[in-house]
Amino acid sequence: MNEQERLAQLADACIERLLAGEPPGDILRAYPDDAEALRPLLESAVGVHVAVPAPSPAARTLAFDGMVRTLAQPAGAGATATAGGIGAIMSWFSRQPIAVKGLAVVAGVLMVSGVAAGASAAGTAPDPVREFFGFEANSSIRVQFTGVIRGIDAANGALTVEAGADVRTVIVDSATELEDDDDRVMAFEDLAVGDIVEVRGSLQPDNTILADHVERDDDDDDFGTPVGTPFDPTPADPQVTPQPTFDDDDDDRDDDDDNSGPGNGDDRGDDDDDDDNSGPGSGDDDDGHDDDDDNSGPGSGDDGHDDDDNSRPGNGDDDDDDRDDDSDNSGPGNGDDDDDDRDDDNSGSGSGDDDDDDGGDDDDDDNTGSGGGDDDDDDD
Amino acid sequence: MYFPKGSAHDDDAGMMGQSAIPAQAEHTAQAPDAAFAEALAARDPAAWQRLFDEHYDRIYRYAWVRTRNQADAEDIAANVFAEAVRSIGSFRYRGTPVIGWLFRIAHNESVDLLKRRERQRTSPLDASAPLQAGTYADPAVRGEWRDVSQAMSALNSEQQCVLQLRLVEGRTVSEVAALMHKSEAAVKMMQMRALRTLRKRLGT
Repeated sequence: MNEQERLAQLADACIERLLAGEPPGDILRAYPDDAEALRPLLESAVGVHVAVPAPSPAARTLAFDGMVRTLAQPAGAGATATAGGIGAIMSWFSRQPIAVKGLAVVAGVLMVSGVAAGASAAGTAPDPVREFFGFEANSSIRVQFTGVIRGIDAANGALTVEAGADVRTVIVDSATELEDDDDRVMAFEDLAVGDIVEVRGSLQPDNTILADHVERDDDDDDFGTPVGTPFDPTPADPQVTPQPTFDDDDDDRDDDDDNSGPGNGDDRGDDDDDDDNSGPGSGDDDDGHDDDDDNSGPGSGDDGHDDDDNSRPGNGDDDDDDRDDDSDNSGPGNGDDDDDDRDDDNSGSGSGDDDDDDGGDDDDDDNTGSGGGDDDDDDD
Repeated sequence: MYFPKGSAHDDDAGMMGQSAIPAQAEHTAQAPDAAFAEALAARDPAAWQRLFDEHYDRIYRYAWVRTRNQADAEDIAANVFAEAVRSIGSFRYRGTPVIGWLFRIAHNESVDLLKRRERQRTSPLDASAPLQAGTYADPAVRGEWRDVSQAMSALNSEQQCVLQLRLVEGRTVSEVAALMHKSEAAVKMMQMRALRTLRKRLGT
């Protein structure tokens, strides 16, 4: 090996360390005899390398969280069976250092709130949320979510609460605070099927949630019932002053609200919506008006209307809207525009397809992403 | 500029659903990949954590080269790992290292995004605006990248390719060597000469 070849080897070793994140000064100190020759090379390398901005820590966190949440879901057809089950995956992550564990908590809360898929009906299958944390009998995880009461078991003090795609059994005991949304104390008997409740409590080993706080939401504008889910909202008490909630608005008019932060709510029952619900987990406008909503954040919902941007991973789709779809469902894993008959973009990898459009209408579906679906049943 | 198949600069249209990495390029220092792939397929959380830790930055940088946009690249990188989990069941190890598989997913995700961008920019309101990666990038980032790109234009095409793959995308020497059908020693020599020339151009 001649001198040039030797120097090339050393320069490459420096680059390898640079790519691994080692500071240039430290790198050069490792080669004191050749530092003078290596310095200009390393400086040039740094110039190229840093021209690409580093990803933000928040983006890295979200990416890892998304991977973990996907891993927590049951394996699809053709996948190898999980060694030890989903619980093994979740408990493994729960044992990791705090930085990783913090992500797991985020994922778990998202699952409970019904934003992310994967949590199963209580008691019917291993619970990814519970097992996510390697749940022990005497341990607990705090959860908070809003849902609709679908059943009441007065004898056992249990509520069946639906939150998005998830159904949870909520145990109310003597320690549970029961309030309406004006903070007035309620009795268990005051709760009724169809009530919207915000639940805070701890997840139990049997998948139930032991509530320490249940607050009935008396203002039906605060909660977006899943599309197609019937319920009979409790009429709002005209004497009640709406309390601040994690959703922002209880107003009925002229919304241009910015709900873009993670987990923020949405403006419902209002007119003229141009709401920004783009933050991760943000809600959607389930009103019947003029939607140009931005639901583009990961896990954000969708509205039942048109021209929605649902392009982020895991976002929903515009189901059952049978007119004027130019929906962008192109993010990976996004759904499709069922029952509609035209112009959908499902181009993300894993995106679905436009089924049921078999009426001979104009399919211009873009399902070009990896794993993207196809246009079945269309006859164009 | 010379960009082999599998770099972030090859032709989009011809790569949909195809391997972006020649088989010969797929033997990297990441071995033993077979056991690793098996652990991933078994949904071993330690394997997935390792995959993320080792490759998130590389996938992000790969995406950034395509999009010239940090937010888009971050989205793509996130999508890649979620998609990898979803599709691991269909991944069969045949000597193809896992990173090659990830790059393929990243490629497809990037193509999807650029197509969406193209569709948006060819709407009636802005049909005159050409599609160009980096249109949405932060101006300061664009400026810094522009300076580097201009300096790199003084290099021959192979030297540019080496620096792009090695320093921008973060590929290993063995990957670069395989992609360019060179020996590792030759790649290292090209790399050093490229850096020398670049040093003069950048005036640092």
